[in-house]
Amino acid sequence: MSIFKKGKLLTFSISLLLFFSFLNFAGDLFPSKVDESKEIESLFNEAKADFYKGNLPSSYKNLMILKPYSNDEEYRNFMFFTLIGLGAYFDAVNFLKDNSSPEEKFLSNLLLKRDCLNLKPKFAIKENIYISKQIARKIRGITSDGESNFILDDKTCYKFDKGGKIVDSFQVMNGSEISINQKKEAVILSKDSLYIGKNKIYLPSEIEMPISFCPAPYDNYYILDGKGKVFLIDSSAKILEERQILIKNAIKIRTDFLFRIFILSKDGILYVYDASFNPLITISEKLKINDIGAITDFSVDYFGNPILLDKNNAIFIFNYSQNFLGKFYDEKFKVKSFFFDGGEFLMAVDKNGSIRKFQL
Amino acid sequence: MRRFLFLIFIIFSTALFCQIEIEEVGVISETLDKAMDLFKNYKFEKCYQEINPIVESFKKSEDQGKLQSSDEPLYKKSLELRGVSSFLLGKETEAKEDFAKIIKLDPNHNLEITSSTKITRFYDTIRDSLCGVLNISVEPEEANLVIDSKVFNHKMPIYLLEGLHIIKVELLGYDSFSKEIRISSSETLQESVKLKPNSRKVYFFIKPKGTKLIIDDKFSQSADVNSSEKIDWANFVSSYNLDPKDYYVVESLYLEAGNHKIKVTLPCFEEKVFTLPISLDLENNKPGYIKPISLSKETALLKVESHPSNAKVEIDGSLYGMTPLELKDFCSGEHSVRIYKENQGEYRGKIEIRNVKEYLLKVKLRPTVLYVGITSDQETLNYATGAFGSSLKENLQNISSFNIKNSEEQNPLLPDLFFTKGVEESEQRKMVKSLCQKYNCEGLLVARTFVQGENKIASLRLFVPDFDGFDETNSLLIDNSDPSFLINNFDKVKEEKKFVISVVQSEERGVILLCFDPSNRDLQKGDKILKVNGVSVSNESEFIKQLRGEKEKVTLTVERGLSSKDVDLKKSKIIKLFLSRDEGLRKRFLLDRQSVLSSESSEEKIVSEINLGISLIYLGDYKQALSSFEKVNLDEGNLFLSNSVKYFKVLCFVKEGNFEEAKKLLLEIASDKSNPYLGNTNEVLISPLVSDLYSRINERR
Repeated sequence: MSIFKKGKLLTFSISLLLFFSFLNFAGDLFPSKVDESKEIESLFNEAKADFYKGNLPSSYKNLMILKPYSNDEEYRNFMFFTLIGLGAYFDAVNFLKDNSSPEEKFLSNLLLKRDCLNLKPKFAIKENIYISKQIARKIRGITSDGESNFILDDKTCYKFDKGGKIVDSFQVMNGSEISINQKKEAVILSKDSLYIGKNKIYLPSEIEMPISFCPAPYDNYYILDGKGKVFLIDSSAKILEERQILIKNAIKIRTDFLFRIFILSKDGILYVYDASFNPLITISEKLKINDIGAITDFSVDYFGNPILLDKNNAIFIFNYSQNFLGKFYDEKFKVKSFFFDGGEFLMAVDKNGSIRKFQL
Repeated sequence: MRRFLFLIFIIFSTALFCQIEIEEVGVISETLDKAMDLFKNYKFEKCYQEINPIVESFKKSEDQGKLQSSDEPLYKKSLELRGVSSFLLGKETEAKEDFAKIIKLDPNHNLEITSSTKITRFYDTIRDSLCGVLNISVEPEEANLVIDSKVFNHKMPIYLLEGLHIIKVELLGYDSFSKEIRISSSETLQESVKLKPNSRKVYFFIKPKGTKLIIDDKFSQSADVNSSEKIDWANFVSSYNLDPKDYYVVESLYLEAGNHKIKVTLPCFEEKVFTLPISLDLENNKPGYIKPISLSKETALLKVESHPSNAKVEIDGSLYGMTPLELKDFCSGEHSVRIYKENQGEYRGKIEIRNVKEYLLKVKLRPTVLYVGITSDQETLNYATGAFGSSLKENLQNISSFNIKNSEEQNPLLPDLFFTKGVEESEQRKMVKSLCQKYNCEGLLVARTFVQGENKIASLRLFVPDFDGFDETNSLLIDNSDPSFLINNFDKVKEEKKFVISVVQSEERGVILLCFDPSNRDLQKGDKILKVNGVSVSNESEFIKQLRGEKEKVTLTVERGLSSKDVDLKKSKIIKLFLSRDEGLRKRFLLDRQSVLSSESSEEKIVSEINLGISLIYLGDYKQALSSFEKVNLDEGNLFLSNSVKYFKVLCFVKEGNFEEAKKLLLEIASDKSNPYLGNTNEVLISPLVSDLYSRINERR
């Protein structure tokens, strides 16, 4: 016996329209706000701060309160990713469905495809370029700003144009990882320093043997060192936070758009934390049943769906709910390193200097 | 003080002046009488001397432009007396002058105080030298003749001073005639005017007595005069082999040529509506007699149902019984209805039963609200006092949310009390309470018009006893006789929320269901919609297009996993969710409270109590809200609301400072994963709200 069946929903549904205001009321339970315009601004800042801290329920509540007042892209972005963080994927897609920009449409479509419908990736080849075999053999990492590609080998960072021609290069001793920041600068982690573009910043002595890095909230970086410590540093390499993690042999650290932290251990287990390092999930069992060899590198998309490269040069894609989505393996194109833009494109290099851009 | 003295001076002066005037008129009349007596006694010299100062005084007034038209008769009489006296005293020149004066004042004046042929001829000679004569024949004879704004009898020759004159002939039902004429002294002008009819007098013969005649949607008259009263009427009715005593006459106003919508109506009798073509009889303009109309008795079976049932039914002031009610042979026509249940609300409205065998009146009892009138600022005063004010009052009667009672308070400043800045809220609250008690109403409605920037705004405020503040509805004041914008804004019934269905187009998979009522197990999020009513849909716009068809039932063919199935839905129950802020809290409260009072089934009771609880929270009455939520007894079918109800209770507990109880309930909600959404839509997730509130309580403590 449902109240819907007897058509008695009317009056109740009308009151459901009050929900936003209702949540507003919830916000006033502990009255701390005085002026409405200031309140809106401060609530949004509060929501953002909660988001960056990984306190998504609180962020959600404040964003819901703001819903009648805000509909700009920034607000929509936060709400969208908050809903993703809360596991409400369909709601996130639904939220962005109307009144959204092409970028937002792209994001919601991607989410729908990868996290709601668990669709298989296509691995359609979009571009194929070639670089020097010598560089490819010593490759440590590849990244792209959309226009140019950056490749890091043991001594140098090369900048290639779309045709594979070297347009710039600079020396980087013992570089281990390369990534791109929001300003589209190549960021490289080396044994003792962080290169932001060509600008070398020495890491503090507390960080011994840095092995992996990734972006952190507010343009900062997380650095994982060889002793199982994660450092939060700003762009001048000042340590903001230091945290000992309890993962043995952590080898890679990554973040998604929600700033959830993904740490890969040497034995192939992926640990996921929220932005305040509260443990969320561990991905391991699902990985094992898919014949994955030892994982050498990984990346995550905007929504935290992992893409893994194993020692057999195969790429595996899962989603956050641990559904296996697809695999890429080609005898003639053994992936040595890859760059994933977080969305639809993946760039992979083989040892012969062939670079392929795939659409997933 | 100076002003006061000035005012006193003005009053005294005016009084004094009036007294002098009255005394003067009295003196003139006395003198005239005295002079007349002397004249009658042949004492012409003394008469002349007596009347002379009066005439000179009038002349002086005339020269100064002070002569009033009311003075004219006395002036003419004085002149006549002096002129005739002068003539008899041999002063012909003076007599001529006085007579000429009389003729200039009134060319058609004839000497009254003497019948002497000699004097009359002398007078006529003077008149002939100054005037011409107009002989005019007018048809129809009853038409009015107006020359230079004065009414004349057209059957007599009319003297007109030499010069230009305007003649006008008028009669109701005819085109008026006007002409300029130039007349010379001693000239006789002949004129003939025949007016052209522009309408026709029409007589209706109707049975039974008292039937109302409505012409072109305007009430004309009732048929009250028996047709046997005039022989022409009786003969006409008899010519149809009908008894003139049975028929009553409506002598309608003149009807213009063309078609007219005629409606004859009487309660309990059939209504006849027809078009009457009117042609003009230009020759004779004879009145038109319309074939006798007989209305036969008309009744219907009137069924009255109410929600809740067992309500008293009062029609046209008489109690008929309790709902559900069936009244056989109920009179057709317009009736005012009141359906009420003690302490559970009422319905007031008008029904019109026509041309039906059965009339079903199905109503929901509504709260009654008192309308106390309209106020305005200086710039929009006309709107409040004019057509807008009266139209608003009239149209408020038709709103669907409430019954409206009009206040009979005599104080014209009463509406101001609810808008004037500086009036204490407690004062308003006191007034709202006392008026609502006096008129047995649940709320108070008051209107105003004002200027804001360049716009004129009309506004309605709703006050509810025991709650501070008011709901305010505004609308632009565009047409001063059209309050519909304002009323619609106030009365707006929110879109019914039934099934919430939302889809999205996925490039690879077509139309995907994103959002749906979670209690419906036939459809789930992520289902791919393949077909609507058998028609394949590959994108969102095709899906929406198919839903727009006329069929009420919609069959969705959906794919889930490897299987597909058909799901039937009623289209009227599918809507797209649209959420907005609802500002009308007091209106909401009144309607929710009404729903609780009216609820008959347990399901309805649950829904109503929850709604009322929410409304009460908004209005700040947490104890009452809590008691509303306590009354919610969820059964098997509604268990998915249990977390929502608990969450609402938590909010009340927190507001009341009962944090322990709040935490206990929050933990209960957190452990129950069966319904993840707040309310019955899948729009708002409940668990983030719960965990956030829990941590905030902890932080606060």
